[in-house]
Amino acid sequence: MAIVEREPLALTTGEPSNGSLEPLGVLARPSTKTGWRSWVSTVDHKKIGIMYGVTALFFFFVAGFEATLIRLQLAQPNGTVLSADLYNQVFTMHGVTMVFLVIMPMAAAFANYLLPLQVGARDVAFPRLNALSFWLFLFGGVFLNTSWVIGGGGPDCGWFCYAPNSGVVFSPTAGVDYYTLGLLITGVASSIGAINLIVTVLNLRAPGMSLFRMPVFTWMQLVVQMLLLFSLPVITVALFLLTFDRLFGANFFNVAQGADPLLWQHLFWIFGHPEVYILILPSFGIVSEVIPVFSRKPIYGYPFMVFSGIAIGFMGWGVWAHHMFASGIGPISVAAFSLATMFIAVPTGVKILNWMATMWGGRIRFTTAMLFAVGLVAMFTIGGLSGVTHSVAPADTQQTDTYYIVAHFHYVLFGGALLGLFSGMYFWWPKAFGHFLDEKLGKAHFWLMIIGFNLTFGPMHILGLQGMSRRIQTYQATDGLTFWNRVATFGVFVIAAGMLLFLYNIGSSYRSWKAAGRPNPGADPWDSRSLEWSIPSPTPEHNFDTIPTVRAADDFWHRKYGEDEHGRAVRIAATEDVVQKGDATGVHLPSPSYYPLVLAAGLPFIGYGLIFNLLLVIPGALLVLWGVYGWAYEPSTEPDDHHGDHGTAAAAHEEETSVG
Amino acid sequence: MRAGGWRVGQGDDKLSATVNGRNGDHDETRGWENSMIGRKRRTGALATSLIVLAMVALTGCGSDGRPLTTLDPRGQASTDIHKLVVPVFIVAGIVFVFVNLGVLFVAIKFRRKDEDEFPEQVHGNTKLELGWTILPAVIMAGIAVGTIATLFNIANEPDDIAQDFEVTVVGQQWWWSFEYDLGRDGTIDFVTASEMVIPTGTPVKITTTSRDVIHSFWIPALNGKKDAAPGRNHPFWLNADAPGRYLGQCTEFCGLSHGYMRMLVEARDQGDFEAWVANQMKPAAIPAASDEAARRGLEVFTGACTSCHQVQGVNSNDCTPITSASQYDVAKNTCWVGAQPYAGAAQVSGYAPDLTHLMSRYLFVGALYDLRGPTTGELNRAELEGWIRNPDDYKPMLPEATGDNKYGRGMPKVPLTEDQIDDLVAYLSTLK
Repeated sequence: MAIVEREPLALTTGEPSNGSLEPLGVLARPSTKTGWRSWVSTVDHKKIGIMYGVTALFFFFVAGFEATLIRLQLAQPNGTVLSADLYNQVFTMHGVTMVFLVIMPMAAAFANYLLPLQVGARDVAFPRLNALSFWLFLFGGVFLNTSWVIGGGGPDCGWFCYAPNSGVVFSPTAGVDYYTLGLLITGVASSIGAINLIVTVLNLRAPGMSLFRMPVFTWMQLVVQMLLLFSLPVITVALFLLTFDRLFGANFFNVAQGADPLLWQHLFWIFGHPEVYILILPSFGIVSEVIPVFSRKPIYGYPFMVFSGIAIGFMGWGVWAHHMFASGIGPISVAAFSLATMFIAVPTGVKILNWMATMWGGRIRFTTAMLFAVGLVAMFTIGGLSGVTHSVAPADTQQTDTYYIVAHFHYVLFGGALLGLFSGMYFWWPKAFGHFLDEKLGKAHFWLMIIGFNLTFGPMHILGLQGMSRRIQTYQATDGLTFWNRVATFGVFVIAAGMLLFLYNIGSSYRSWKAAGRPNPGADPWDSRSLEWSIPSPTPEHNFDTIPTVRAADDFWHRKYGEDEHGRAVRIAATEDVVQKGDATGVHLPSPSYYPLVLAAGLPFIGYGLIFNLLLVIPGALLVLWGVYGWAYEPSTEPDDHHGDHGTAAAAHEEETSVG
Repeated sequence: MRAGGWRVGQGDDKLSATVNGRNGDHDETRGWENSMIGRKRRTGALATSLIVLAMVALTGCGSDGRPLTTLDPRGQASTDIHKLVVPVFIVAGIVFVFVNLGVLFVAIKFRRKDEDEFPEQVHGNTKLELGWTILPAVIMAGIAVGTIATLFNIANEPDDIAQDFEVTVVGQQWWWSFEYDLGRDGTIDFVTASEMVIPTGTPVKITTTSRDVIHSFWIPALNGKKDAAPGRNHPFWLNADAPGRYLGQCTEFCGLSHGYMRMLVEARDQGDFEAWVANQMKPAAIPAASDEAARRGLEVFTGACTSCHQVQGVNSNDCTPITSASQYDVAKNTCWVGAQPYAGAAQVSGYAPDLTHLMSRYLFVGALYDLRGPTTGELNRAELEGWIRNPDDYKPMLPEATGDNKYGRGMPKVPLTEDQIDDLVAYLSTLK
């Protein structure tokens, strides 16, 4: 499945080695490069990345709508917008959607699009598996959300879904089954994606791209994929146990049969804490790309940035029980996890200071991307500091499960992860789509987000310390919590305005670009540093005309700039002279395939079958089998299928030997 | 009317003076806050205003009208926690101000004025970076020392813990029961619901557990949280420095009515407490023959309510109360819906509050509503009747059995006539 860049060996019989070009004679490979067929059959990491992004953005609006409902319900005491039952479903799905269907896939969008470009590869290591990852994520996410309409409501157990409250006795609707099965499906997607990206980074780097010349974004994604690879099996086990408890009467979490309800908590958080870093490290990577570019300085302390990321990833495995300080684990465990949690603050602090040092003495240009990146540095700091107050275990017994915690993780995940992802969107938009997002609208978007975000989540610190528990469907007028809840509800509408503006920006930027005759932003519109900017925008299908040979970290920058005697950057070559033209022909790329889609489409049927009627498992299993067989008998690359040749197959044939 | 009269630590200074020496700790807390204010004056102007703003937002509004606040500790454990966390908040506040002012400074000072400007290409400075790796480590080490000391301090039972009784706190969907073991001999002597009464000053040994899912016992003014998990007994303790009523809220998501699962700890002076205990130990009196309404109400009660509720002296023979504090033993409890013993009962709520001394309490329906006026002690008849008439208006519950949920959880709507409800309330009013 790896990229094949040479002809298959000819057989001695003279027949072509892959004689059956249309395996099973059903799904012929599409040859079009546009239209919906090119998308549903694509194995191109860039198209897959864009599809991840679009899907995640869609789910972001879904989860945002759920958040708005939550805030409307809490705008006044004894709110009646949602019933208690519906409220429990809505906050559960808000959390599950934001974590698994928005931030993770949005980060996967960037990883898919950028990792091959940043290491100088033509695609990921396993392009069809990459497509499978996406379709599994999409179907898993859609499956999860169909719980609203099929089967009596969404999961009502919180995103953490503690046993035994998630058992069938206490949550008799199918909601929790959607949760377990949906997350199992998206978990397969993430596991496959992790393996794919790890192999890509480790094996497909361009000549000279040693590990310590990789961009920090690539490094952070590598750490993230490692975390995914090792943490997903844990949640998979937990979800399997819960599925068997609920659907087949097993007793893993049945206290009456001697189960210890803390088993689920340990399993969940051994996954759940690394998951926090899975959500935040991609954004750390993004701002580590954006800040140097707009400061015109290299990242300050590259080794510290890389090693602190690795340290965070590593220490992330030793802090899970800080989610359980009040759970009844003994004081020795609490002390150990409290100390471990304190010391994970150190590498995080290093990152913040190194970003500031990168800007220090720079020549900063405040584009929208830079604003979002600096916003992350400021806002994540608040989340990090409230995290330190949680590490003080006795204090955490007062703070945990209150709105202080809600404030904390929103400062981390919104103020950190999401701001970083928006920064990345404004930064790489021209690379992916060949036109800019409007900067004026972008800056308005930024300020609405920052103001709305702080109005919404800032007061939650106060509410939490004033005793407002989380996951309560309402509070009493006599609790004295009304004022700050009103402020928080007001804030959510400011965020909503910002997001609608962002949506408008996407549309209007495209239209005005089209109206202006589609001017090209050029390969390197921001005067950037990493390899993806050395190729045209939008990225040609074959990525690189020739795979670059890398001589240093920030290789592309060093092709443009040298240093004078004061260490200042001085231009040594015009950008146009060092960027690739994107006009290579005959580059042999993996061919599209429908089978990842077919295989993935089977899993929701199996999910519905497990919930409603086992007969439904049959079509699901058949789809999976069809997908597997079709995939296995389909060569990963059609020998005559050339990309980027703009011409005839014959022309491509001539060029072929010169490439790769 | 929703419960509204409760304030954290209603005991004023006059009352506190009569209790034990823990008031000294209390004063120290105030001292902390004073020295904090002193410190603020010495820091930079903007830093000061930011921290002041934060502190005003956090504490300045005070605890008045915020019965659940964590910022006004009224017990030994909560005071220890407060003393630990306030310096951490200050350190965090300083770092916050430093970083954000730093970002602001950098953003203004190093703006690009000319597109052709290029700065010196600094790649890092190992010594500097090692410095700011070590600095946070040192700060964290300092915080760690205080954390570990306080942690074990609170985890250990205080020496002066009450020797004459302990309480098992049992969570169930969606209310709390408190099982008193006088003499700490492993036998439950009486059970209350929603409200727990303790003597002022003395730390009380508590064991938390649950009859169904995981709940969390939290009285913010007195101590942090302790989860109540089925099949597990978690040791815990708390005390209150002054007489008062301290509100709490279940803080582990426990299903449908989680938000409506509250509880109250009331601290009384020793004499008051002993009188309360003596009263709780008595079985309920059968209403006098002259009180016809109450007599009729008793009949309604035994006909419609006793399959779930208990009144000692009325149906204690059918519904044996819990007998073991050290290991909550559900198998021995035969008081389930329909009086059917259910071996797997740890999984299902069905056991309803003990009503023997209902009228000695102030709150009902998960400590959400006033049963009696907080000052007048007058019965809140309208809401008691309303609750009996249609419980679902007051608190969402799942009283019907569904599938694996064999007994339902919560108060069902019992078909009673208005006359029957009047009689029933007349009877319940006798349960002093």
